[in-house]
Amino acid sequence: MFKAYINGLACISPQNTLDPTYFMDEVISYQDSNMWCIEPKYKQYINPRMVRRMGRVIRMGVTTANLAMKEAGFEKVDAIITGTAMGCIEDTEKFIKRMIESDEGLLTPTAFIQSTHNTIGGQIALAHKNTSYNMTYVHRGLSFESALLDALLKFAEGDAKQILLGSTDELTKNNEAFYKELGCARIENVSNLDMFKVNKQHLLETSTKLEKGTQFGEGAGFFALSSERQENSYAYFRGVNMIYRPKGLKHIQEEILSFLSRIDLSLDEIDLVLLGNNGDRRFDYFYHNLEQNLFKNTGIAYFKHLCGEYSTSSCFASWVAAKILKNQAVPETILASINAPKKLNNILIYNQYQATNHVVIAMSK
Amino acid sequence: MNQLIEQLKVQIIQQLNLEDVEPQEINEDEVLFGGDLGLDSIDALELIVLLEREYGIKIKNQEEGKEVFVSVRTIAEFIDQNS
Repeated sequence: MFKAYINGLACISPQNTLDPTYFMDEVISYQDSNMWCIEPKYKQYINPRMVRRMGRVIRMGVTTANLAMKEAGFEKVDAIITGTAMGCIEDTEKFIKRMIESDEGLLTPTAFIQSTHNTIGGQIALAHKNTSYNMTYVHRGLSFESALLDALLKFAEGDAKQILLGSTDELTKNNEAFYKELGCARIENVSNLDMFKVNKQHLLETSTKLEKGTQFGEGAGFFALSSERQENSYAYFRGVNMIYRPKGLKHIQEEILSFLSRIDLSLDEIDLVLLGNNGDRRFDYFYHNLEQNLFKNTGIAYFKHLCGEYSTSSCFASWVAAKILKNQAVPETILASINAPKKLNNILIYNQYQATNHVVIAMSK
Repeated sequence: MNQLIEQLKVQIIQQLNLEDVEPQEINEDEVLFGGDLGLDSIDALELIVLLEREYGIKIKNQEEGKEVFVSVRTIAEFIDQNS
């Protein structure tokens, strides 16, 4: 069993998560097929001279990293570990567009610098004058999870005492068009609140009103972790399990039980399961199956109607779990089961991306 | 010349992503590097690309670049002489 204590966190998402007092009491409705982040004025968080050379996703990442460090009271960390599936995709698009327009000539350095996936981790290191271990994991729906595993292993091996862990991914207008073209995003107007209602109804009444396609989202989140508990610790990451292309529903259940056994938890000790249902009938059966079988006696909550679907949404789910464990309450806006759990010591997150990348994260008080 | 200077100010703000800077805030005689704008070597590369793309003018070597990129006015004079 691992222990990575969360002492500071920050999240930019389509909800007001950057407000430290926000506890999911209100959920902003999005009628579009995309859920865009609510962004702050970055110059209050980042040196103005640095900000102009940062794309949107870098700004989100650096801001949340700075805030997590500040909340934890960390002046330095032994590692900066980032997960991102698409990296700085907006700047990559700009760079490629300029490359085509100029026939591979007259390319500007800034767009190139901003277009690489590890720019986010690099800019955080520059902002904090940090020359320690700096790693970026780019593994589609397992990017954040791979970064988390690296952080857990670093603590377990005694390589680090304080780590900055996070992930960032952004939407672009081009992405939106691709997702619609591929049939991944809903074309008709839908609301993220309906996504929650339909899924909740499914849980309670086994409704089948699920559609093809989902609402895509984006977000950035960072956690300031330590190997030892501090007075202000929210909770701790206890373990992470990644499943690549599971053979079926039974395989997923077996993996979860095996994972729980490895981290010294029984099914009865799980107080709440956070599920990543996204309203797409092609994928939600994974979640419904677990709700009705393995977790039929466990409290259930959903998180994706708050942040939308994206490859590193487990980072957002981890932010939700840490907030719940700190506040010892499950907000009504995310609670799917009839009754709220009586105690909140252990939360399990189960999420999957495009039926390929499945993940289970355990967090304890 | 004045029209070229004003046009250059807008292009520089755009190319270097100088957020919150208005064209009228840039003094055409003020030094670009080491001054209030806080430009650095990456910005110099951006300006080289700007001159080539917008005016079809190439900076031949580092020494010439140092002379040309002193201020907005020196860039404008260089464009005027070479276009």
